Amino acid sequence: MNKQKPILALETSEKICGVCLYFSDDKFFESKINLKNSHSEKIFSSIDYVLNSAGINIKDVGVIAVSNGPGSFTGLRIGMSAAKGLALGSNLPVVPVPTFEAIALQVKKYFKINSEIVIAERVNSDEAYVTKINLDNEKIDFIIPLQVKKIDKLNEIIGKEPIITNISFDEKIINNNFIINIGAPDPFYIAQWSKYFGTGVKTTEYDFMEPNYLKNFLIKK
Amino acid sequence: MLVPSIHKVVSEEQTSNLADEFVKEISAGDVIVLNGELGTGKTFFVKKALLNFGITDVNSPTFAIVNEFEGKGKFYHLDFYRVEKINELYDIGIEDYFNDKEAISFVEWGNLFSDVLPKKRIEVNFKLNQDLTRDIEFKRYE
Repeated sequence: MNKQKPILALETSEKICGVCLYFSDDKFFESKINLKNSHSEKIFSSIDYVLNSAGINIKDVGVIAVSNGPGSFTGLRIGMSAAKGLALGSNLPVVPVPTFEAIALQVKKYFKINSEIVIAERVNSDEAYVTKINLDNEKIDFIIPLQVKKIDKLNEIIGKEPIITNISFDEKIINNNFIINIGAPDPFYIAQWSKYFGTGVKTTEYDFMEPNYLKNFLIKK
Repeated sequence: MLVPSIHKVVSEEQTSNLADEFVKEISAGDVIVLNGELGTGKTFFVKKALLNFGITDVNSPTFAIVNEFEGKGKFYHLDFYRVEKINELYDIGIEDYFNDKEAISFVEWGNLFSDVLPKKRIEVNFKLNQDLTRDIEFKRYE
């Protein structure tokens, strides 16, 4: 990864349309807009805003990091399309960032090393994307792989761990667990994940790159 | 209360009257699944229901998969008849339609892909009888 050039990070997996132009942990320009059905309208003006604020051009960017899901279908497609378009037009590589790993990175500072946390984010009224993670010092370990699960069955996964979630849980599912209400990572952490872990997945072959929807159910007809 | 109930109808007018009654019991965020063989009146029912909201140009979404309408409210009219794989539904963002709490979704042939349907929904089942009367059944799932 080119350390001299900033990372342009896009986070559109949920309600927030977020953009971060990241130079370092101490120097970054971030825009977050919470406005329903506006991601496609706001993402490019947000990118312009952070670039203009930093006084640079898109061609001065080193890499585009994009939140890769799981999350909102429409949101992820908008982010991915914007990333591909900018990358193609400016000859830049793309780093697809696993959204839940960026969430883990964001909350890591609140927990001791080797803490276990559950991340559960709503898919629809009945289902959640869920995983259990060990916050190792150097990496993010998935104890239970990311999966789609019925919300009323989440107690099969959740024990006493803190839960990072945007779901209001029934008392039958949780038992005095510590809750952090986060639906999606800040775009800063999309950039930070790209900086720490992005080297191996950075690519210029992004034509067939698709968001991770985690939805590969059996055909039923 | 129309939901739950079952009705035998002998004319389009009776179906239309049921649609007029039905819309009084639905609100934004509801998902309404319409099941029944071809020609049993699913699209006709939706057309008449949406007339109540000032929407006059409802056609079968069989080929478009989904049509969107805005009148006195926001509506999605979906049809799973031509869908072959469940992933096609994810490819059109089916979750985003059902998650839209400002809209009412009507889903024809929803029973073909029941895995994508929300647990909380209203089902309207159409059955054509041999004497050409129709049974229309309204059921609520919570």
